[in-house]
Amino acid sequence: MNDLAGALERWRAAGLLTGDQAAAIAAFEQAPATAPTRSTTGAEAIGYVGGALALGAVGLLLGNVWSDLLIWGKVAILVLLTVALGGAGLALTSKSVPSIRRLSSVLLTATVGGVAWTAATVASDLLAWQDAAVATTVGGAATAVAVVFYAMRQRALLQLALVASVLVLVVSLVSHAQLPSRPVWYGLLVASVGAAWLIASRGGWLSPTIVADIAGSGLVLIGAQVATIDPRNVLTIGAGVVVAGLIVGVAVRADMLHLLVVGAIGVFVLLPQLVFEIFGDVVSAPAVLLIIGLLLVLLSVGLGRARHLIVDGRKASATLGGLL
Amino acid sequence: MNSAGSDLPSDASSSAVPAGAGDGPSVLPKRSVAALVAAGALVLVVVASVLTFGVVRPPQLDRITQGPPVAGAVAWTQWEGERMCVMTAAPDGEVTSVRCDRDYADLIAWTDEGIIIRRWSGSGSEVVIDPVSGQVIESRAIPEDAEPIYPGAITSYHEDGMLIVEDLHTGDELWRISIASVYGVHGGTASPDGRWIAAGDSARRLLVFDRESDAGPRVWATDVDPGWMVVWQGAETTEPVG
Repeated sequence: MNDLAGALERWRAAGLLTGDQAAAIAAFEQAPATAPTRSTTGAEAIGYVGGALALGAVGLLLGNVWSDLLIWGKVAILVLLTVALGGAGLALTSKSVPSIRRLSSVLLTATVGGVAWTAATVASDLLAWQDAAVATTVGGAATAVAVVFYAMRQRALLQLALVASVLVLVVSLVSHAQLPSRPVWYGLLVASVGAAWLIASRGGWLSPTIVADIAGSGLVLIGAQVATIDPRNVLTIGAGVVVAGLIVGVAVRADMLHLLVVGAIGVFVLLPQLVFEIFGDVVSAPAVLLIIGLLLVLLSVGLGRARHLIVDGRKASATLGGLL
Repeated sequence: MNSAGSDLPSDASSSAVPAGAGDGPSVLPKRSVAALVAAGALVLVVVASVLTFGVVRPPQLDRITQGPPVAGAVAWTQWEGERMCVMTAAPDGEVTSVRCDRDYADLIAWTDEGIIIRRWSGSGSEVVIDPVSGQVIESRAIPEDAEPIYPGAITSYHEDGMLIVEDLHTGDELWRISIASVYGVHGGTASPDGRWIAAGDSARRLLVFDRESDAGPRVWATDVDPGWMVVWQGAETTEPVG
């Protein structure tokens, strides 16, 4: 600890840290570690299972009478549940116990779902709006609430709730047209949201970064797959393969294993489709087997290289730590 | 800047600015700002592009008043929220919601008695309603030999980017147009004299085809959802097809 104090003092004198930052680091290092034990994690898991069972029972009870409820009864129940979830989640945000903080995130994420459900019920059953307007209302309301909660707590669940809300909002805009768009345009929209998510993640706006990278790249690939539904031809499927290949390339270049996994899944899903589209059923089966085999070999090489780099990186860190 | 190595969930109760954004929350690195602007601009540009180029527009057609008058009125059922409504369209294009109920109903015919609708739920019943007031004139049991009737005299399909509408009986081509595959024409019903065919399309329009003309269909009503069941006024019986 004295080493740390000396180092902090040297860094502060060199202008690398302010006095407040040095004090904050010292206080952080002096605080006792709060790593969850196996027993507390198990208890937390049991608590979640019990909560899910209780909610399921309430859901079954409500489901039996839901269609017979008047609209105001439905809205009142939804508002009550949403406010209760949100209030509990917000009340727990200031707690420092990790399990309580996780519970807070779960409750706030459930609140986003409650807001979406309430908005859907009001717009659809009470105001009798058309499907497109209902979808936009749901996406807008959920996005607004999710942004606020995510700004308060940057957790994985809340981030996923936010990206789902944004996706619903963006895709719903096209549904306002007199006729629906072809799937290729919906695919483009989904992919653009994914790409935007990746860009925002790389810009440091989204945390946890791994979750943002996986969600963003996953949406890009889902969009590429949706685009191949109609028109289904070499061009659209080939574009999907190129996108998946780009993700793999970026992952290998930046040593991002999680992105490599997502990109590899995209290649495995899209490349056989391209082969079938080009060669038909006659030669496609053996060609697909050959391509999948080659892909597996390439993937094993890539994973081996990534593991090698990680091990080298740890060795380098350890050496650097010893020198310091 | 967040990196793959600093991915532990973090609370941002103080601010939601990127990590490493500087000494204070008000100072943002240019790269972060550029990323946020680029992400927002990307979504906006794609949404604008899709709304400009990707939205399918139904073919522009003449109105019902721009051509010879049709033989009579038609009726159909469509959902309005949680209720199913019996709708009518007069030859001049006026659309009327005659009666709405919570139960599903098959529309059977529009005879001199009135509009006959049939409900198969429960023990099954058949009611005759006044086509103007919507009042029930008579309620009776469904005849024992009655069968579900799904009338339709046309068929439509897509082939090589074209929507083709044909007479189901003769196979004669009624209409061909280049349009996206999401646009379609539903099954329709011929008028008692066989000259006219009324059908709904996927742009929520009621169309009418004149089988004695090559002028193409005309729009009878908009913002309606006739689906597959349209019956003509004066049609004593509707032959099941298919």
